Amino acid sequence: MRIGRYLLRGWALLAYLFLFSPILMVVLMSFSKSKYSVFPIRGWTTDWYGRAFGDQKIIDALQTSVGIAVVSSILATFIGTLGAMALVRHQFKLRELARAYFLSPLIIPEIITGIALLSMATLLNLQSGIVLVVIGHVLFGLPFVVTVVSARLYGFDRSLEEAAMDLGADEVTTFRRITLPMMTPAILGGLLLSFTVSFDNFLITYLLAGSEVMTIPVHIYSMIRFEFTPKIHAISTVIVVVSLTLILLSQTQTGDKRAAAH
Amino acid sequence: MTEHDVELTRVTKTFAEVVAVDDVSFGIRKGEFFSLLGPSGCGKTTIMRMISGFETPTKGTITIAGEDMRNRPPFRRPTNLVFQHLALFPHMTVEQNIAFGLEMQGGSKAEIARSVGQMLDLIQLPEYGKRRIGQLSGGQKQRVAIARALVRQPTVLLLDEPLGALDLKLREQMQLELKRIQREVGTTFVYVTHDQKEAITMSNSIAVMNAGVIEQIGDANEIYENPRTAFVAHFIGETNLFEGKVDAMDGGEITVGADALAIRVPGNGVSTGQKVSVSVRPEKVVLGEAARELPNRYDGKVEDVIYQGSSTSYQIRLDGGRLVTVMEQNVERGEPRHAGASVTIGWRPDKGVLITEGLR
Repeated sequence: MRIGRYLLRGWALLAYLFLFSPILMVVLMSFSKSKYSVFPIRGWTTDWYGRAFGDQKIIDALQTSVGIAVVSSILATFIGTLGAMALVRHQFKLRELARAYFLSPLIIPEIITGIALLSMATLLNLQSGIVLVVIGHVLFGLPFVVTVVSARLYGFDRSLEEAAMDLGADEVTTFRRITLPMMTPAILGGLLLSFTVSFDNFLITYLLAGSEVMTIPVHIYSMIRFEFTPKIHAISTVIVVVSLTLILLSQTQTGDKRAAAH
Repeated sequence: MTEHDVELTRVTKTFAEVVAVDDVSFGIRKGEFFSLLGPSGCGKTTIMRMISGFETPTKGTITIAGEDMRNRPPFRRPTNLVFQHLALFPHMTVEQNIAFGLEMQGGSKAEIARSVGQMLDLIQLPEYGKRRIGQLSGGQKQRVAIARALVRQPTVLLLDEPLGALDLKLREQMQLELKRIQREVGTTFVYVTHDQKEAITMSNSIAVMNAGVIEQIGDANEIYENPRTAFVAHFIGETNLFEGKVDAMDGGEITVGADALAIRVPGNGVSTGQKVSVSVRPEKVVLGEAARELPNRYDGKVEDVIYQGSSTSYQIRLDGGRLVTVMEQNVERGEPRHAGASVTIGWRPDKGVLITEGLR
């Protein structure tokens, strides 16, 4: 019994190591004095962070990324929440198809969705650029919002809404006072997830951005191609930390204990 | 002013092909504790949801305090509902839950706070206003749900099996509590339940429902002592039901032939050969010596004995093969009869009830 437990723990540790060691290397290297990625590390420094944040191009790219992520996550959350309401609350023909459609960006290879968006843009005479990037990011944020929000809606006790109406609240007031507040954790969770998805996206951005728009993942890619510098490690570490924080935050939102209160 | 607070006239409700409520008419008097009693699926919840406005009758009219409720949404009806699973708002405090209905009516903050305070006193939880719903016990939630529904001073308070989730002891406590609250506020209560004991202990009036129709309406005593249909006789308490037909009539008394037994029972307006049933409650049957002189007297053997302290329940197999349940009060100290013993049972004709409706 005991040995089994140790074996299980060891195995879990190995799995985590496999998952996270590359990221761990990046984090370690970002604090390394050496200009090259060598191991073992000979000296420690935080210089690279200073230099990374002193680099105007990196700052610009970060700002662009945040801007795009804010806009597209808000859009994705709005559309996705309404979509989830329709999928869960209303019986209609092709409901299953609609659900599959919302989730398709997760399943269809990203490159194919990217190409599809490009051809659509050509068809509609849309310039590649920031608008197209936002459209792409919204598309990829949607499945996350729809999943998180509909999970909450399925567990939603409709008699709470009936109780509000019984107590004199019309439909709009009921939505505002009961449905929305009860849904807020899930909606926030969806917002944070879609923000992360947008912030981290490379492929779609790369395909749709054209030459004008430079987000941080795309900028990192071009930095690698020209000249490698540990600034990349530093900025990558920042991105990892921000992403992990957002995802953990979204988990605390969706795992809210208030849902089980009654 | 009408005498009735709630009046249903020929109300029918169908869901797709299923008739949930079938041409039902009845009235509920002002200030009454009225129970809708029946097994699950009998239509009692549908009736309640139609009164509160969550369902629309397919046919018929519902009036409350003299006003036709047609096309009136739930939020414009003078009714409030205590939900089966209470449906307290988990993201609000106790106070906020109770205040919700008043805020919807509008009114000053001070007024609302005063009413909420009164309600908290009524449910005997004056210190609990700031608590969250998740911090309350089952019985406390119950009280808050009742307060939330009563605070708007509805003409009618509807309760949908609200005690179902509580354990027996708490349930009995809450039954008394509900009676007390009803006495204090004087509101008409409509109580939906499948528990006949609950209905009997609490109600002024009981409507027994089955398969979408009302089988009988009356007070607890009337429904127990004079069941009109076989269903009511069975559903309320225990009974021995003898199914047969009228053999002879002699003034106000008739003889029913059932299971090879001749049973005398008071009855009018039947004809010879008509199919009827006779219902005899177990506690109205006597055993041994006491049965000797009775017109309805039969011999049999004790088959099963269930000793219950204050009383003993016997299963008696009559010589003709019919099994009869007899409840005997243990007036004398001593041992109950033993299984296998020969015994005579009997009852006076007027202890039986002739049933002519709802026969199977």
